[in-house]
Amino acid sequence: MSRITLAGYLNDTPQGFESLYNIRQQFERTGDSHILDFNDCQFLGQNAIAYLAGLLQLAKLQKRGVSLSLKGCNPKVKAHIEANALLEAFKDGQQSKAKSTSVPLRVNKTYAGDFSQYLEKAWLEGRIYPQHIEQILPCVLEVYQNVFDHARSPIGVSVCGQHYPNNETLKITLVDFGVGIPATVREFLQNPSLAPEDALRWAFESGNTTKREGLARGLGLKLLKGFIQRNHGVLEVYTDGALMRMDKTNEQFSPYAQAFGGTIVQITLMCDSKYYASIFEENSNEPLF
Amino acid sequence: MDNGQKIYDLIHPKLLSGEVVTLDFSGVRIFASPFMNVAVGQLLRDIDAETLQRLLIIDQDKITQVGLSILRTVI
Repeated sequence: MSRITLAGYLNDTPQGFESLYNIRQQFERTGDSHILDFNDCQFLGQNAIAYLAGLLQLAKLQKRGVSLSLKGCNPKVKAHIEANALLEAFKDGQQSKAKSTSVPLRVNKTYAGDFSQYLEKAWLEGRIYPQHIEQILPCVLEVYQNVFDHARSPIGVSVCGQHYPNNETLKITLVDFGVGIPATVREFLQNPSLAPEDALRWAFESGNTTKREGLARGLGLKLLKGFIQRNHGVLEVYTDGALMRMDKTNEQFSPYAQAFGGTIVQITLMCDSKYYASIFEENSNEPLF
Repeated sequence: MDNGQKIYDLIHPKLLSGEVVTLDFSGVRIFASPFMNVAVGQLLRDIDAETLQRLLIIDQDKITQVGLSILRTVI
């Protein structure tokens, strides 16, 4: 049995994400059973909860034993793990009962029809104005749908969020352990030498989709970007070899050294209503067709 | 998307036969672009815009502003 130490601040900074990838690499490299040791862990962000839950789901699929060591653990970290029922969460469809500022961890191996209600009730309701919920919900729903359409993730998707009332932000992180966006785009474009950051940029261009069967979409990310820009929020996408970060003034695609086998989408929203200009143009009297 | 396909399967043959179809979205709060794409957007594959404008009625008083905007974006 190998011991994997989770130390320091596992937050949603680049260093925090890098620590999570290192944990996955250790997990892949060593043994059939593991202990995740939280003794030196000082902070566990919603991205870490979602990522670790995904890892636990992967362990289950690969028939590896995993246990958590919480002896001597920071009490706040322990409370966060227990509130999100991290050990139980890798049962498919299980949703935890988290404390009031948490958006409960949820792991879905297949598309769940009630995900929209989860987003609305657990993430948004009571935190942003009701009329804004109907703007943001379709955008995030499409990110969720994209995992099942494109990612080929054996765990499906793992989702967790957090409300930070002190700085009035609301975050949600979606994690899959699929093939990564660059691989999907390269395969679709039949261009194996396409740089990962260019592949990611292609994926974000309106109208582009790698979905072959059914009706092509390619609108969801455009709508999401529009909403986040007007909201003064932040959109971050980490995927194999590439990183995208977008805020109100800047959109950047860059190479990313870590190839962790999957995609993380993290959305940060501002809760204050002053940040909610509509993403949609005023409806005109022009004919629809 | 499944719901969008159900709508499309209901209205597509009627529109092809020249029948007027009215879509009433009263009570619908959340609209996803995949739903609109499948339900309405794909009609444009084999029905021209002028014909759809004449035969497909969407009561703009019975759809939210966000829903209408998503519909326009999809079209």
